[in-house]
Amino acid sequence: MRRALVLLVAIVALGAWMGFGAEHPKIGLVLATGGLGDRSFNDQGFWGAERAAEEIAAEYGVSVDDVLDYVEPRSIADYESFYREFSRAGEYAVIIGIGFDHAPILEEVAPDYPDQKFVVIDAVAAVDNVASIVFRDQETAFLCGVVAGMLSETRKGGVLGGMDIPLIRRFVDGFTQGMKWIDAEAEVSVRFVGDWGNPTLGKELSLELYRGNADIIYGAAGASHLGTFAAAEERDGWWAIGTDVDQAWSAPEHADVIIASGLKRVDLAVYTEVMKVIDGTWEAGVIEYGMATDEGIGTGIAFGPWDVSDYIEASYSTVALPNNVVKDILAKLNEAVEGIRDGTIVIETE
Amino acid sequence: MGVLSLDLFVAALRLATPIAFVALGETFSERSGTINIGVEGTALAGALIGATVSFFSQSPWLGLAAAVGVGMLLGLIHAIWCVYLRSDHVVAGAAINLLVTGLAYFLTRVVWGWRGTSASAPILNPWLLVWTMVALVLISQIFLFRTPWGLRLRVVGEHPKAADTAGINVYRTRVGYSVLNGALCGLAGAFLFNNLGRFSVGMVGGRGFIGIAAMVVGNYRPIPAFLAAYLFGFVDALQMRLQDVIPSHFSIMLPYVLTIIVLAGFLGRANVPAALGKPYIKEEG
Repeated sequence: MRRALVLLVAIVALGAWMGFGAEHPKIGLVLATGGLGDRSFNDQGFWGAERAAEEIAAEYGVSVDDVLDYVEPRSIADYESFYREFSRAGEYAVIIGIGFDHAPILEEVAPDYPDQKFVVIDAVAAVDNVASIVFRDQETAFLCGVVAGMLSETRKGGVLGGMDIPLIRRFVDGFTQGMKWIDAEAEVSVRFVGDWGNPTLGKELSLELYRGNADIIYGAAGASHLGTFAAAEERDGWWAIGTDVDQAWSAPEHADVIIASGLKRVDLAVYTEVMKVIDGTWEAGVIEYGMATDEGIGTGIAFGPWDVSDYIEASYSTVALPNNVVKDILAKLNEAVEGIRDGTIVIETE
Repeated sequence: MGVLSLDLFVAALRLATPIAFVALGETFSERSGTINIGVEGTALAGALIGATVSFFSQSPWLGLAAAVGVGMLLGLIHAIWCVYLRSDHVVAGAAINLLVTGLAYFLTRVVWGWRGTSASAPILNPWLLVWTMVALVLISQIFLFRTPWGLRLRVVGEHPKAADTAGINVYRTRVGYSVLNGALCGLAGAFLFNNLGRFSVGMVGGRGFIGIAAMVVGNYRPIPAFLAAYLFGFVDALQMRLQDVIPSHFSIMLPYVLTIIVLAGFLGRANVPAALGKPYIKEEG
């Protein structure tokens, strides 16, 4: 009898201890098929979640690994099982999906777990327990267009897109309007690779754009626009603009042709959403990130040697520009940021 | 309009080069009786190992040698599976494709910390490999149809028993041309790496499979296979220049649609080697 009692106490104690251990909030992260190591979209999403996890871990005295669980799906077909595994566990404060192609799967899965909070980046999943994060990519692209407009000697820019989809059309529209905001006569040519991972084709298309007289190309094609950087190396006076992170940092061997990079602060968005869950201020629905939104963050550009504002950050670019040119461009960028924030610049998208 | 410029023909040649290397290699391999759909992965391995060796040795020539070497190794593995172990040729080739893709993700992440992409490495002028390809196509055409070695190769693929009776070593011939196929696929990968200056896992992007299609359209002959590869490259280069006029959704399809149409026209009367894909079992006597 006594032995049974001891055992019972032990079990209860163990249960209480485990229960206590599980008390800290946990984050479930489902990355896009590109996986970690892209030094761009996926890595940024991970950094945001990691930063949030570090803060949570410090507060509860546990390790980051206890707080953050992540998976790297090999294909879109894997998404559903990962979401269901995370959801069924019932121990995650929030489950985050990185990438536009997660939305249709979340629309299937999320209604089955109505108490689970989900966040999806870059697409809208119309479910009551999903916060859909969209970025005003056109703002970022507009700033890149401003740089192109200021620097292009041929008065012609190019955009290399991965695929002709609404997301990339926002890049094209923003870039074109930014360039024309500086130089109303400027032209923009657009080419699509049809593939996010084929830099061989990306290089051919970029060469075609450069030879078609564009001297600055904005790459919005994932790994495919690594080919743009390779093409830009072939002749002096050909420049490229990177995407999502400062690509003069992520592709340092091309820092001599990458004049600027559009920024998409996925890390800030992921961090902010996790913190909202922790604070209890999290809400489902569509949440826009960008300069002219309630969040007020998430878009911007890496250009020049200085961190100027929340939107204009220093770049690792090694393109040598005269100081006065850099200052002129930074002044114009500041003007554009203010215009976008106060609504005097309205970027039209399809 | 300015679409039909010299640039177009030059770009077409660049786009055709990896396809033509693969088509040439596969012509040798299939003429001797071995189907290898692992050419896609073999080309990728050539680019991967070529970039890796060039990166560490800082010598693009060593990189080129390594690309050819890894191609030969994969060709040898495929031949051992198909010729001696008599496994299904298509399954063995698919295994190579899967193996190399996995290796590419693993190696890039371990070496450069960047999934699927290498850092920049020293390169050769890619045109060196383009002209190598053109020269090899011409030499191969003569080799296959104007030399005794070419005749022996064709007999092994058409009637291995007759070849064996005539004293030709069927196994060794098949292994040898599989290895040659691997070497040529390695060159396809080496061209892709030297053209871009780094490795990226999507850089072959189906061009190995298109190489097999070019070989079929070329009816197992080097020069026609090259012309088929050039046609694909030409239409691909053309669609890039037509994107201002035709929506990209359609223009990107053009080279593939063309491949399907041309293949459909050629498959029926293709000059398929009679013993293709069939293991040869030597009678003990």
